[in-house]
Amino acid sequence: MEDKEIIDLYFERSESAIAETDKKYGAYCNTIAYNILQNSEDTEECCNDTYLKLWNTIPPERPSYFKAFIGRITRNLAINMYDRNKAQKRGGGSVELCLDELEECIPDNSDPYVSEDSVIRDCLDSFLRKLPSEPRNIFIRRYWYMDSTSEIAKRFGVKETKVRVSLKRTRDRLKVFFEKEGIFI
Amino acid sequence: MKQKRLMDLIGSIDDELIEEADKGSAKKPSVNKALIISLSSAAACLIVLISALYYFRRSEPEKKITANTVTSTETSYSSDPGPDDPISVKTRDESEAGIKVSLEINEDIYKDYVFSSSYNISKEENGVFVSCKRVGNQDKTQYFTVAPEEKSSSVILSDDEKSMVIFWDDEFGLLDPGKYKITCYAVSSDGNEIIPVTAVFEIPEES
Repeated sequence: MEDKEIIDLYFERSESAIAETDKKYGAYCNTIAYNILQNSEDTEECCNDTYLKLWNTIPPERPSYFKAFIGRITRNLAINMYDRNKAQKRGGGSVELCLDELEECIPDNSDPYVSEDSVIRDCLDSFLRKLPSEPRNIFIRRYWYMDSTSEIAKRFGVKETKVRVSLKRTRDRLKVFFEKEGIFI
Repeated sequence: MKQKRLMDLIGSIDDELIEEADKGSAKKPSVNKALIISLSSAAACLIVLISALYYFRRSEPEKKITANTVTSTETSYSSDPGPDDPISVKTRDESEAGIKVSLEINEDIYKDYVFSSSYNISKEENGVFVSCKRVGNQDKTQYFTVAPEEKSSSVILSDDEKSMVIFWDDEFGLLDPGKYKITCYAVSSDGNEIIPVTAVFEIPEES
């Protein structure tokens, strides 16, 4: 079923909207949530929460990119759940690893001033759009989808080493870009 | 936490980019490009190998380092290494140039796991482990990700990635006596599971 038709089902308040979403994007949500939570039960709960959130959001929203819209909801819910789990001392270390890696992108700053979210978001978008598609997609797979480097290598048909090098270079470039644009996280 | 803020902001990047990354695939390099890359990699590896051999051969032990604690996946740690510890620290030597520490994964526990080439190091201060700072750059946490192609004298992974040698030179300011904690990452062979494992070693006061 086309995305538009699924969205129409939500507007009609038809319960088959959720079944169709699950049929088409269940595995996609599952992958995003599992990458963050590393736990099957939590992942299932997170996917169910995603469908509930979709149900409550559409209408009035009519997303242009339905797949990314669902992915973003799943990611946000999974990260929230991860934070809760972390407070209770359970859960995997993949997010920690991503966080550690992202530290390399953060400009050194002893100044208490930090940039606004919207400014940083625009800067990130602008940086990513200027990148060639390959390193950009690798970066997004790692820090948006939280894929492991081996999964990324498999997806793009390259060696894992190449993925790691690409990520390292992009992180370094992003840091320089932030500094040049006067961005402080 | 700055990294968390950045991760949250990455979560809000444009939908179009997210969808593109979901279907995008990389272009295969042409034969000539692949050949050039392979040759460059071989040359880089050779340089690393020579550097590593140089460091191993030239260092004269001057101050003994004891590696006496190995820990589990949590921050607590035992006082003596044992067969149930996930990684072991085997210090090699210390010279005027720096410190070299080797770590090994306990294959009995993590049979199908290898080291990620990332680690973090912290130093005990007033009973608490605090991330080490780079000298001259106080905002930068001592953290490295070294990809095999970019091997430097800082981190060298063995071919089977079951052991790792880390070298710090004076620049990193890690020559002070005290207790240090290394956090490494054991990665499952399918890459789906990453377990932080920590080990502690101590540089005693000079007698």
